[in-house]
Amino acid sequence: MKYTFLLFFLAVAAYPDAGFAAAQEPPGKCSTSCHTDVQAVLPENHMLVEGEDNISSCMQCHLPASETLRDTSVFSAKVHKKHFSEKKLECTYCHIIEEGLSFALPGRESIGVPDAQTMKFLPEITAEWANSPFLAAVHSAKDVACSSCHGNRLPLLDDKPANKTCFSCHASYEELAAKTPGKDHPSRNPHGSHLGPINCTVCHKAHEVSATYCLTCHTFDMNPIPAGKQ
Amino acid sequence: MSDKVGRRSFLKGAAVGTAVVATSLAMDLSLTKDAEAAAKTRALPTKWDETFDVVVIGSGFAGFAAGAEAAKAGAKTVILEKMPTYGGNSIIDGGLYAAWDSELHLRQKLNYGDDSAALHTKDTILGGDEFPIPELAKILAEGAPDALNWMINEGGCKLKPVLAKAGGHSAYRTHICEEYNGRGYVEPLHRIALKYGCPEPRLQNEVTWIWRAVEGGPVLGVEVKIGGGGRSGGKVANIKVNRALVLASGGFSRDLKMRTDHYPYLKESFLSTNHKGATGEIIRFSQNIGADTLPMTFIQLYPYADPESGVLDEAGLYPFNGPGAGVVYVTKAGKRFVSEQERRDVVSFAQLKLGDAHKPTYSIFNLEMLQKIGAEQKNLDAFVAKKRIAVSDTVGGVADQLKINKAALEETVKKHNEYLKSGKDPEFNKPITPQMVNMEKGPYYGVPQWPAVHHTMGGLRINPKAQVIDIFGEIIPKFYAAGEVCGGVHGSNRLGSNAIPDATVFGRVAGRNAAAEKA
Ligand SMILES: Cc1cc2nc3c(=O)[nH]c(=O)nc-3n(C[C@H](O)[C@H](O)[C@H](O)COP(=O)(O)OP(=O)(O)OC[C@H]3O[C@@H](n4cnc5c(N)ncnc54)[C@H](O)[C@@H]3O)c2cc1C
Repeated sequence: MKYTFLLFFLAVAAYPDAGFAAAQEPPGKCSTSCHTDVQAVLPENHMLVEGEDNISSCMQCHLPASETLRDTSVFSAKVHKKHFSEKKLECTYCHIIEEGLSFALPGRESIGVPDAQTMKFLPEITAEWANSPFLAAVHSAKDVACSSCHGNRLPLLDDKPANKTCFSCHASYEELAAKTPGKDHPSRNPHGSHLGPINCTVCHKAHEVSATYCLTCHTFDMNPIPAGKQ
Repeated sequence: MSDKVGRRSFLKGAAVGTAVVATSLAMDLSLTKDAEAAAKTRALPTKWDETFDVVVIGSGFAGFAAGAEAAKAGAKTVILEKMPTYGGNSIIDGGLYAAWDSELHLRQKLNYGDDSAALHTKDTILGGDEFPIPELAKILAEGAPDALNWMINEGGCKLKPVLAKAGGHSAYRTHICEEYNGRGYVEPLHRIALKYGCPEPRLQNEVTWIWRAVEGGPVLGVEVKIGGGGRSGGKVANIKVNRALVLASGGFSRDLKMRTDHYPYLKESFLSTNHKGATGEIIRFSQNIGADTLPMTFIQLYPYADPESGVLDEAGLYPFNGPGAGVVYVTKAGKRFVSEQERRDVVSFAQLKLGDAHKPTYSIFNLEMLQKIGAEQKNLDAFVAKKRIAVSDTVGGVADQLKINKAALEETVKKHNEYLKSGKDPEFNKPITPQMVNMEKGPYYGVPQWPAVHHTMGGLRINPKAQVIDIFGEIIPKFYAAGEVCGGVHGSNRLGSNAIPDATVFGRVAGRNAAAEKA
């Protein structure tokens, strides 16, 4: 069943509001009350979109992170910010979720098994990513979405991204050290410490307050850490 | 074997008996609880989440050395570390390594006199007031050069071309690595461990129990709490050991309860040089399955920590390395108060006896002395900029900056210069050597210093094979320990720069023997 989006939307413009995600057959439709003209909300040079009236049409090109090596973060970030954070749609409006079994986009492979804990925290954590005093929000502001740090699968509560993941955007320990010498004493450099190249996540926490590990032993002044205690 | 079963059962019975008495006497709930705690026998896990030949607890010198040797011997090995970073006290350590020789033969090249394994053993035993178990002290001393060569050859360890005669040692045998901190040995050991197939240590893996059947027999495995923090409660897993468990979990200087239970004087108000993870839970779990300990009261204060924070940085090492170069320790009144060549406990208590009003005391050097013990100019300059140490062209200038009585300090330095010339210290009877530097020429440096809790000499009883011994004097099968978690090597007082060879040498012994156990 394929339609040209535009025509399709006109035809179903009066489709009743989907209401609560639980009550609706996934995936939710784009056209319900918002995108009577989907083309109108796309970037200026965006090609004409054809396909079903749901997220799967986007997925024809914007592949889920699990299926491509391309950086899909920007698309994912924009879609989540708009629909989840701003419009308050439930996760299940687009994702097909079965607790204890699977988590997928329509017509795609599952990317993980959401346990009860994940189900409980995922909306909260996603909200925090979009807007919070934590480092995750610093990333969302730059349109960096979940998969950039958590990889191409459902994030786990215990995830601690490896340094090489951080370095895919943030260069290397050496380059970071060059940017962060202590203001008064250059050797008080969090990226050039006597502990060596420790895990980035020891100090930098995406979903809680970040804190400079040096200061668990030392009492001197150091440059403030992003998204740290104010 | 049946004998052992009986003894373990007896242990259990005794503890339960205590519980009954406590309840009937006073209905004192807390007492009952204590008695219960003493008889903690948890049901063994019904399933194991993972199995390894050798499990090592701790990622310091002892842990990496054991991991390297076990993996080299073909054992499937894992290192568990509770902290988010590896290295424990080892990676923040001062990098001073006592060995009576090495393949670099620095002592011979510098023409610093004689030394031997026997002399190193003797110093270690006398330095610990004859409390050290002679066989263990001997293994440390005999193994020290070889372990150092191992780190140089296979791990890329680099030493400064200097040697110090540190407090309590009767020879110039303290080697100093390029980094002037413990990372200079941790990374070489880490590299060797990886080279032999020991995987990276698992961080934030805290051992929360050691499994052994109530009836006795070998150690079976460990319970581990993995991860946690933020919203995650972490998870709990049980790991089975096929060949043996090696404890390399370090000392307990930061375990306020354990520390004050054994030595009430070392209250919370004492600062500590140690990392936060230096706590005693592994000793408790080991005692719970029958392990014996040697005097836990033997806890060392480091006399030269940063008075403000308790941190032992490179500046805090100069006073310790200084005696062989002729450093002078003085009070605010500008007077000496102890022989600088004394052991750490003597220097610490000489300071504490002065009283808090006299905190801190100071080490006075000239530049030549500092150069002799490997201090680099750029580091000295940085410490001066941080106001950690003071510098001046005159002795009086240093006194002014540090608010030491100026006339008295000038007089003290002058007198000390004369002692060096005459070869006699009539005040404190310090043995004078020709290597000591006359402080006639500046610039002069002053470093403030004060004692902080530093090293726990007490701990688990081991035999020369690094096997843990139970309270009846028998070997607990498949159970090894090495490094600061053990007692008996240093007695009542550890000589500075003896802990790295201790942890490294016994870590190797434990790793090899653990891997040689039958699965
Ligand atoms: C600041 C400082 C400077 C020093 N300088 C010198 C020196 O110059 N020369 C010298 O000879 N000695 C020195 N020492 C002493 C020496 O560093 C230590 O005795 C030595 O590092 C001990 O090594 P280790 O491997 O036994 O323990 P550690 O290096 O402390 O390693 C033990 C590890 O086990 C981990 N652990 C503990 N419990 C658990 C658990 N339940 N589960 C999982 N992991 C656990 C700890 O987190 C730690 O990382 C110094 C000590 C300090 C603190």
